[in-house]
Amino acid sequence: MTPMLATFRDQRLRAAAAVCAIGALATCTRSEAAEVDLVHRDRTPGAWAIQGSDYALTRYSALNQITTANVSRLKTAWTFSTGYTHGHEGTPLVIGKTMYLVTPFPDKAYALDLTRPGTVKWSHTPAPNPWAEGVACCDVVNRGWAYADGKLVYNLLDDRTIALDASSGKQIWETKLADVNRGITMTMAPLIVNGKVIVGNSGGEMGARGWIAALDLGSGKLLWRAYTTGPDSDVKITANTRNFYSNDRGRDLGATSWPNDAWKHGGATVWGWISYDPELNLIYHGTSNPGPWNGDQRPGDNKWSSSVFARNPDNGEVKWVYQFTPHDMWDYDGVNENILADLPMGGRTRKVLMHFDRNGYGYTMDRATGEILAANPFVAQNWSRGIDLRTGAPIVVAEKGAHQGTMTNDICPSTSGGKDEEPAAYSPRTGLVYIPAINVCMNKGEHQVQYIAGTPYMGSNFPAIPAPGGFKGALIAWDPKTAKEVWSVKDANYPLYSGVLTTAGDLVFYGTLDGVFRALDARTGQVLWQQQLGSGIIGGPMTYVGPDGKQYVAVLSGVGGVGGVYAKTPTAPPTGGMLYVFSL
Amino acid sequence: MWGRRRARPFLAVAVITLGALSALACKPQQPAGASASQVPREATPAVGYVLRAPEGPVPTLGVSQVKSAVRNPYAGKPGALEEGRFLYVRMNCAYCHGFAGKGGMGPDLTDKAWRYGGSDVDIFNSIYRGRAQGMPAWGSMLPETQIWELAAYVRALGSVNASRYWPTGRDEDDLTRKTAVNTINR
Repeated sequence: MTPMLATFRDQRLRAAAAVCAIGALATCTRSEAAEVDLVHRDRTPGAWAIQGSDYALTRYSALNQITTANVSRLKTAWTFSTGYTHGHEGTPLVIGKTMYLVTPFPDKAYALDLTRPGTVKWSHTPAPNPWAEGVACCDVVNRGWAYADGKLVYNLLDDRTIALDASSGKQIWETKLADVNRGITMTMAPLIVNGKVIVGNSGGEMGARGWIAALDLGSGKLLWRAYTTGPDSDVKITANTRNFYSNDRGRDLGATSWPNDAWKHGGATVWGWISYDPELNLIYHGTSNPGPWNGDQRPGDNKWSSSVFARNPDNGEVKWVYQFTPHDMWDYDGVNENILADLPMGGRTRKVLMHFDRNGYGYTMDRATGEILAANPFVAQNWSRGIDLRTGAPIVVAEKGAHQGTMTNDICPSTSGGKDEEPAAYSPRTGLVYIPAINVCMNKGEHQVQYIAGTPYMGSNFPAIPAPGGFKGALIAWDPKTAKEVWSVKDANYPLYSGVLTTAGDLVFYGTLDGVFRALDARTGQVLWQQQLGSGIIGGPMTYVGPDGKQYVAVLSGVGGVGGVYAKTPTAPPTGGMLYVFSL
Repeated sequence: MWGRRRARPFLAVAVITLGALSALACKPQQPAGASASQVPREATPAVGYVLRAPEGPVPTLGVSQVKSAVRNPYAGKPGALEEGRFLYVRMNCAYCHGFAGKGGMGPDLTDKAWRYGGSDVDIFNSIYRGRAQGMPAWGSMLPETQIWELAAYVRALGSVNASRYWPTGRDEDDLTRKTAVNTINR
């Protein structure tokens, strides 16, 4: 197997461009499907075949036609209306001459023909249960879709994973994974690893119990499912599990760190991103807040909520797990992406994961062991006084706890977190991570709540208030080796809810809730180009090479999700659903 | 794994017929305070107390519908509105529709735009029978008297300053009164 260093330096998927250039379109589709190799990404230049650009979720592209010198000439090349106006959170995929999109509920899929930009090759309209619309906590979004082996695979909001034939749009299989009547939905982007489709659930606000599952890519058959709360046998913690910190060691902590059987409705859902290290053969995924939000009803650490897992994708076995926020009282989910890179630290190369948690800390961890190498706040936070690197535990400020019968004022970050699921990007050229950050605080007070299936299980009131600094959002350039900010571009009026793209042209692309799509100099943060789009941006930008050999940049514009709440101002553009594609 | 458990006795399905509803509507009204006895009002529990989750039926669609154009027997009655407010928080309505009824996961209840009709019976039916986009059918969870109280409160949300019906001395109401969700953009 390609060593990780080389793999991560060579971030590109090499398209089957040579085959496609001489083949008829139908033939081309089949051959390009066969030739996309998700592990050896350098075989497909110009494609974008994984939501996060690669298994490391760097959202970095080696394309460099568009640079700091010419980006000011970037113009709209073509657009496409999705027909829906809920939040558009995903990133378009491009394989060969086809772009793939999935809309928010009802999760319609489109294959667009890049030889005739803006035209539809096929579309697929599933019929998910409308009940799902009412039990999805945070808009009826779809956070991403996956491609492998000629199949487009994604989750429907009503708890089905489906696989479509990427050349025709015909459904090949579907697998029902949960009961939407119990408040469980599926919104996350599957990751396809070793012929397995890895998926997880949403519903941390509805008393769901978190799980992650693997389906066979060929048949959709459920191969394994691991829970994130409950006894070790359910979580797949085994004799081979080696947790770095003593706080995370012990038998059945997923059950014993809860009162009675509260773990059965304890949240810790898996609605965020999954990354994969082919050399260690480990996938990395986070878990959501515990349920209910009212922490007084669940004394204890509430493992494994607000945690990060390293698992063997072949059987789900836990290699290690670390809890970012024990006994979370603030909705600090741990689901944000874990970006993988090999960095020089302390005189040697460390295989790290970089994670920017809702709790406001940026972590650089050894991804083989779970050891924290560096952790510092990247936004205003006051719930803790730092992370104790000897124990791995945050030093919690007791006065900032949220409790029943009282309102605790001025807690930072808010329930939105210092960063939400919108993914950051890492450039191996600059060594910096580009974090889309949220700078908002809150007051929070709790009250008793009872579990009623299909209704929210929260028990919390949490008005947002302004944070220190006088700004609500920031694009932060972050040095993961020192866990320190290098520079930032602040947004006075809106938190950032857009994904980030960085390129070998030394550019950083991202959007704002009021619909400004922007390119920065990746080294200085200088704004080099921007354009007002029709709606706010909460999706992830991407870049590809079209059939004409030119580099394009694409992003979905369609405000919604949790960010949509912040965009309900008199001057922010309304909801929408439009793909914008730019070129020089 | 996702099997349904047996309903607890107090959550037994109470399918009411048109006749039963008419009978209810003609009955002398019960004192509002007594009607909420089905939902116990514990004091704020000490830390460590865990509420026993009512593992009852999943409240999905399927309960029969009330069709007659009856008036809400509790409409505008302050005691009933107070009970309705209590139930609105206690049965988790507030988390979907907002503590002030301004919407969230569920629709705004104050904007006069009713997806399924805004008459007394329409609102009763939406609560009792459920609606297709995720509104549970509370007819299987609550006695009809409490559903009428909820309906009265929901209507009050859209017509008057409902906060005057919020009872005092309950932490959740005090909290709600102090603040509203997402004040940041105001």
